[in-house]
Amino acid sequence: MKERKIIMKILLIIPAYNEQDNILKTYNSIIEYNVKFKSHYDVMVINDGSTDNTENICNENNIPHISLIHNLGIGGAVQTGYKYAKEKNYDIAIQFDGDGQHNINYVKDLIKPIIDLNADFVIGSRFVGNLSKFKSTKSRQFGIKIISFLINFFTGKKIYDPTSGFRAANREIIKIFANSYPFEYPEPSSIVTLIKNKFKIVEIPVEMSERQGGKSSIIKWKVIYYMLNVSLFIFINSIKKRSVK
Amino acid sequence: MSTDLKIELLIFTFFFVFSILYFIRNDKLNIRYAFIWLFVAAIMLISIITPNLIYTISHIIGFVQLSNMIFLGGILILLFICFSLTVIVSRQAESLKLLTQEVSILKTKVYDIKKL
Repeated sequence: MKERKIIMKILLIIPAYNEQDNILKTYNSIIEYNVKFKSHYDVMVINDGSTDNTENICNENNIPHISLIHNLGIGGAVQTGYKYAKEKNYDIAIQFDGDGQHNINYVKDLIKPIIDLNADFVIGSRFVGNLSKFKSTKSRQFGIKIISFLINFFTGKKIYDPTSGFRAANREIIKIFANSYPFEYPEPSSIVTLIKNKFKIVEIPVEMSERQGGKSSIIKWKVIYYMLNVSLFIFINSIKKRSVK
Repeated sequence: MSTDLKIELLIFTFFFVFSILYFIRNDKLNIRYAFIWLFVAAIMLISIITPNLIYTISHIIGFVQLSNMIFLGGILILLFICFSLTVIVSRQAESLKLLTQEVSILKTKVYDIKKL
């Protein structure tokens, strides 16, 4: 069994909205990693209707990308990636941020539980283990704690970093996400749906860095509004009867 | 109700119905969504022509004042219309998202084929 060497098709989905300063750096880090470790991670940048130079940079540097003809927001962009992954028959799809927050070196840890069939869905977590020095601001950490508590309350499973955008999905979940992926607050909402449908979710420690440029999609003064909405979404998702399988 | 008021209200209602029909005729209003407005117009017409009928109805239900029933009814109808509009908007947002995604994926494919 240990010698089992199946070549898995792995896709990195990189949603990018106005990431002209980071996208090339992120792409190059993946290519360098592929060369160095002889890995075969494919990349698909989803340009979410950027208004800056993201599109040109992708074209000039031959970065594989899908440019959405209109801005859809993070949920719609990531779902496009899952649709592509489903169409091209990928075994594992990984959400990877285009802003330099995520580190390519942890992708192998992220996909390991899926390859070993120990998990359907893996979340790269800042709050498991002590790898990540950067843990976001105090207020945001507090918010994440509340979301985590709510998910635990409604589903009975503790997810320490429910807002992490560094996640890996197996074939079955790729299909599900391609068909339906939450519009709003996709990270915590989709986790709730997965738990409700009895998928095995594993959290592994990863290191995240501070954003290297651009703006986070969660703006500070919107935090309270965001929290109220997320709570509502978690609640609604947890009472949804509809099975996604 | 005085005859003057009746005539004024009738003119208003006819204008309302005329607008609905005008918009349908020029393909600016979907018949599916026009139905509810025609229904509202019909209620308005009935209440103007036979005020005694709604007067009786309001008494049977137990309203002290007729105007209370009319205001409540009007608000409820508007609430219903507002809510169904939100449902329609959500459905359209979903299909717009789907369209955007599929067109964008197709566009990428066409571009890639051209490059070869």
